[in-house]
Amino acid sequence: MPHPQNADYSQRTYAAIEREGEVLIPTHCCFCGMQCGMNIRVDKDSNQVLGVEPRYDFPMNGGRLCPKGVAAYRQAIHPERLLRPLIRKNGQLVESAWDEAMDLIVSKIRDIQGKYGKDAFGIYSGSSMTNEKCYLVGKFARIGLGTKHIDYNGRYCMSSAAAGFNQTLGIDRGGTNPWSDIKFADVLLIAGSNTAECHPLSMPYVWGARDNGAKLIVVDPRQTKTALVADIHLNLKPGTDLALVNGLIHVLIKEDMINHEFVKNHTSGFEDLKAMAEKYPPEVAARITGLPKERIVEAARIFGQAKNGMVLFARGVEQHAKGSDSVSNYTNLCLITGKIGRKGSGVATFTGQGNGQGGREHGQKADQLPGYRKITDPEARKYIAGVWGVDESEIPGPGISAFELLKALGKEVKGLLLICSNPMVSAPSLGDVKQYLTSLEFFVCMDFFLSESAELADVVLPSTVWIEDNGTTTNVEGRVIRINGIDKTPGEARRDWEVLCELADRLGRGQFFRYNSPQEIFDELRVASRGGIADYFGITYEKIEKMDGVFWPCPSVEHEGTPRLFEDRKFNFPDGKARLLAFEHKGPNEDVDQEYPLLLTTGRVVYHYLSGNQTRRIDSLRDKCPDPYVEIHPETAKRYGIENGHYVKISSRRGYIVVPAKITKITRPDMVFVPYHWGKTLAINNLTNPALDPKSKIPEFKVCAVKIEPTKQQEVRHG
Amino acid sequence: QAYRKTVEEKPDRIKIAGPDELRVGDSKTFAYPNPNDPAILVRVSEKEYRSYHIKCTHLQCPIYWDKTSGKLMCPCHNGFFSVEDGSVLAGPPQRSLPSIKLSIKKDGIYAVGVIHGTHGGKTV
Repeated sequence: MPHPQNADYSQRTYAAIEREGEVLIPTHCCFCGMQCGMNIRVDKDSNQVLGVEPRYDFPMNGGRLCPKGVAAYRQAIHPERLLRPLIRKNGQLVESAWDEAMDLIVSKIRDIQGKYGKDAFGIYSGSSMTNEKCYLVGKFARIGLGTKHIDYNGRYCMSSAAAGFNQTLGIDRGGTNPWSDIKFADVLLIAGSNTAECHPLSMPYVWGARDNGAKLIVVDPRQTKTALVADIHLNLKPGTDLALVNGLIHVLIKEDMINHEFVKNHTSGFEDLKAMAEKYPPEVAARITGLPKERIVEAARIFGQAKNGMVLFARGVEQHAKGSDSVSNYTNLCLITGKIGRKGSGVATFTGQGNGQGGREHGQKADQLPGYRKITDPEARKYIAGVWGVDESEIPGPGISAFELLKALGKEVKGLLLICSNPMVSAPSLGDVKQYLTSLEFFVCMDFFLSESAELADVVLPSTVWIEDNGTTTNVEGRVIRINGIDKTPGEARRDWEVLCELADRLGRGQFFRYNSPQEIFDELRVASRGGIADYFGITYEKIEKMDGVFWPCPSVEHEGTPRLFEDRKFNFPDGKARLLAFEHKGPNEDVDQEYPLLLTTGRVVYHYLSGNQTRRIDSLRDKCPDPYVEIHPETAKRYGIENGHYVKISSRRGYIVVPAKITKITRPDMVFVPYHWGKTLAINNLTNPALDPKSKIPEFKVCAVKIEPTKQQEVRHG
Repeated sequence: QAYRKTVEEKPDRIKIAGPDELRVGDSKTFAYPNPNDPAILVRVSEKEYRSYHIKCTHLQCPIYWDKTSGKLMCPCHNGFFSVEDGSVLAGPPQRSLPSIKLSIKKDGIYAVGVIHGTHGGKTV
């Protein structure tokens, strides 16, 4: 019997196939925030990973996997795995002994911090690690190194959703509802999410809603595979979400599709929102977004008339200089129509990284302590100091955000530890990023492949892939789940948490980092998060196994977690009311002009994950999508004399890239699209705009001005 | 306070077929009111025509006029719609097809409006 919280999901009663001489280790896919359940097939004798088997019993995916999922083990046994530490000697990275590498790192940390102060050594981390590692990295920065400079790549991913949810709802859990609720919506509004490619196993839930007759509205500049099945596709001009939503709100108010009871009792700020929406009649919204005004009216009516409905969005809405406010404005749609806090009604963001949710809760952020506590809050500092057994004054203050941290390299920050991230593909304006990284006095990187960023390091430490370790992650719903791994690491590769603990020990801070297992770290995390917004205290490994995951907040051992937020209609502010905030449309930060007349937007393809450091090395995925390309509308292609497959040079004010053209009507005539998973000369982030959202500090990846020209040149390719 | 009034749009009228372009039992496709709103016109008798949007209300596959069975059919998941009023006869769709309001003039057939479909008796 599944736990009642999982009753409406899609688990199936089939047993996984077991083979002679093999064991199945139940765990979860590493390749997105869905965290689909899978079994890892392991040879009993050699402890070698052999493949994956579906895990039909797991609620989220019921044994279904996407193309990345079925290949998600091939990075474990891979000829390019790093097996020994690398140290730069005479300009070359040379295999060396762990002792030599650790000695060097510790002496460099001492040297740099001695010369310039503690904050001169920073950490740039990632969100594709377990909660245990994310927590430990934050703790290691604050009381291992004593530096305020720590931030992570979730800044490029989830930070706008976090800031938007925090300012509107007072709490940042990516999904307010369990995913099974999607099936019970009468209308789904999906914005800036290429769901079918980026979160394929969310689609059965969308189909489930369609089977019940739900209407689907998709907001995306491109006619993605998801938009193809929509009742209404709003293919807006990139970067105009605020204007579109203001237009929708205008229609909802004008045609009185507002839930007045809910607005009056459970929100504040409606009059300001109304005054703002007044300025955006459909004609105005249509002019800014480039959509027919009838379509905006129709979408508003479909959303407004439905009893239950969910608004789901992703990076297309968030990676903008106004990303946080766009998140809040989309959330306003649910609030003013009272569609929140019940089955089939709520709001969610699709987490991109494997542990995008958990990674942003427990202290990897520059301004944050575990449990989603603020590092500037004296109470929070006192509590965490108590858990860590240090004096409150030993915890540094807030640092700066990821891209600001990169800009500070070589200046305020002289040494850097890079863990689980590849900014040389994922950061904007890459030409500058390379300069920042190479201006460091000392740069150490932990990774299991030699990523484009690791290539620039002075020391590279070989770490483990996800199935070589144990721990927990928190999925797109806010469900904390168990990652189980094998007890084997290739060559001399070591687990990140063990390396951090040894570094702490060598720095004379070992007494704060005595752990024998990830479970011991988790038990400390539980206490550290206790009473915080993201309260994990009542979540134990045993309970996770028993319930197939536990939704936070879970404040006590008896508590069974909180699958659906706001059922009591109490929002996380002192007055219990959600805040309806009003936003004027502005931007994009860099609009088109005569020299750069087209907009560029970027995104993912189904075969690759993040910077491609893993998926570009997996043959079965690389074969399907070996290189980037540019999608150009036929009209635009004709104007520039570009034919399908022709090489095209795309340039912005920051850099250029040469890729083949894919001429397709799925994009708009005033824009081009390039997927972002490649590095070096094939990295579209050479072009993107590092303008930051003032609230979330997310860069404006999703829109900048470019020009295109046909070219004969073929750039050097790489896998 | 629930908003449930029937929505009938009044886009510009367009001519979609000549007076005797279709024989009884035949059909043709066109787009209305926007180029990406594909629709079908069926001549059901000497004097009667029916017209619907052809995106299936389940997963948006294009439906077609199955002359032999006299039904509108979606091949993706075997959905069937009535040619009389666009209502669901069988299969996974839950909503009827939006219908195109027609005006039959001497010089041909005109599309003059869109009437949204129904779901369990109520307009959606």
